Amino acid sequence: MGSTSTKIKLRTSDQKVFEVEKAVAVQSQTIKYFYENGCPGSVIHVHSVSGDILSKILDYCKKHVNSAAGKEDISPEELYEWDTNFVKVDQNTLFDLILAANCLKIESLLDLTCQTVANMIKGKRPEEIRTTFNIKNDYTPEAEEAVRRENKWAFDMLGV
Amino acid sequence: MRIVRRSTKHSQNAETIANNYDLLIQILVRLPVKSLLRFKSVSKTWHSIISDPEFSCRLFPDISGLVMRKLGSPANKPEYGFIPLGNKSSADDAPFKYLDFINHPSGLKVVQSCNGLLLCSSSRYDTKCSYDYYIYNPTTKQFVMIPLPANPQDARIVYSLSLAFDHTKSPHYKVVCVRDPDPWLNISDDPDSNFVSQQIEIYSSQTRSWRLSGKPFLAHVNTGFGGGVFCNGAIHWLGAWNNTSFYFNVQEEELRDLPMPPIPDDWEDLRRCRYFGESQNHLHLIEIYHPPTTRFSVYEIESDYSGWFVKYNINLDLLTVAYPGMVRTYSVPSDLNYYVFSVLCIVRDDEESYMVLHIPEKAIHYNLKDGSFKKICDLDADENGYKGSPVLISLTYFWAHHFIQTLSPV
Repeated sequence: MGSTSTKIKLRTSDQKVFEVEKAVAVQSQTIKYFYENGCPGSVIHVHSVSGDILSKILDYCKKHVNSAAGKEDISPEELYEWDTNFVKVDQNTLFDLILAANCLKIESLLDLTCQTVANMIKGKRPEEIRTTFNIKNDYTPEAEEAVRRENKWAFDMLGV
Repeated sequence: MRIVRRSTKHSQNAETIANNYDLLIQILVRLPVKSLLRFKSVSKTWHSIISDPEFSCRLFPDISGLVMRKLGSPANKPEYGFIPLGNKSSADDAPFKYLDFINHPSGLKVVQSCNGLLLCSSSRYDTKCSYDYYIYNPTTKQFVMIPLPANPQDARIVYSLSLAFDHTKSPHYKVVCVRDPDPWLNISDDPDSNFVSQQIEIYSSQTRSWRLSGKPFLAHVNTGFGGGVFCNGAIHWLGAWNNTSFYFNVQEEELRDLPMPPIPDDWEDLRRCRYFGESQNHLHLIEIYHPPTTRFSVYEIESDYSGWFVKYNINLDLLTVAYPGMVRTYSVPSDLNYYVFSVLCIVRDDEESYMVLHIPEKAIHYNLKDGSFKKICDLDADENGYKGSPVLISLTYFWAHHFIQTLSPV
């Protein structure tokens, strides 16, 4: 019947409800805290995460729990491959995953997604970075030129 | 309508991340140093985050290559070659060919590399027997001169300087100086003694000043306090004779004997060290005595300094088959230099530990786990050697120093 495994109920920002195995849900330190300090059986609200994103995140947690517990026969290389494919998503989803991993406190997922963003932006020019993150250029043209000159070699042969 | 909503949401998301400094730093610490220097011009906020010494302590520095002194290059303009290491590095990443961050009349050379910072000195000593010393960050091109400790009598003093820097512990570095009083003065004090008094002084980049560490002590005249290797918070000096090796814990300011494998009884010469270096807080040693061999061991020091244990066994037989040029067939096999190779570096890495070898005209990557090897790059031929005779093969580079990209301030 599967009655041995405890389930935790989660409600997302768009009011979707997930019933998740405890071992999977507590990969999130935030959910773990609310589970241990809240009323048993009550629904935990994950306000800042949408159903689409939570569903993806639970896939990630399930994969890693199963692999760690030996329920799934998967080599470290295969898991690495799986992770690599997991973050092959559009930029918007990737940023959603970072914010959710941060809010749910899932350290390994935060590592993975931040590294993915780093790889994505490392070859870009400052102008492109400003566009990606919607950052206002608060330098005067002279000050910007001075900073660029100081780090001139980093602009040679762009790319890393 | 939907498209507009998506694009608004997109920039909101990215903006939220960019405005959350914890998250932003999580991303930035994963970038190569070159990208970070470029991104200083994104905005004033990015500039101040990236310039913060605490931030540079959090970067993950990988060794990206070796800089090596070219044999036969003039003393007043030492030339450096480069071997790229790691999968992110290429020959174009060479940090310099000559140390010309200042135009020093006697030229500049690398004394020691320590977690990304270089201790450099003038290539020849001046009339007072002393060198000019600098700390140089080859990534950011910043440098600073290190004044020598005060010398009130204006005496002829030999100074040996070593750099101690661990960015994971502190953004500041220390320079340890072992001051060797004028040998003539010592001999006149006690002509029969083989021991001279020494004094340790420590310079801190935090205070920008020197201070004495402990009392003067006696050391055998054959002890050299040059060529120090920083590992695990201590500077290690290898002596050429038995009982002349020491290490100095920079935090506790304590000098202790470094136990060394004994020099073989039938060997009547100096210690024959072929490699002495650090990687990931492991101290490694290779010594080869008679007979010349392609099979030897890499030793690592025990964490409690009780002795050395065999960490890797090396067999270069297949390498000599692949590169017959590394055997001096014109010589006799008992010639100590029958096999032509030098160990430039041992790199410990969770993914793959390897050794970098210099054989004639090539740099070789040797996998320490399975003994497989591959060429990293071609190196210049030793022109001087070839001029004399085409068969007198030898190596072109020596004294390899780690090149690690870092933002650490000098």
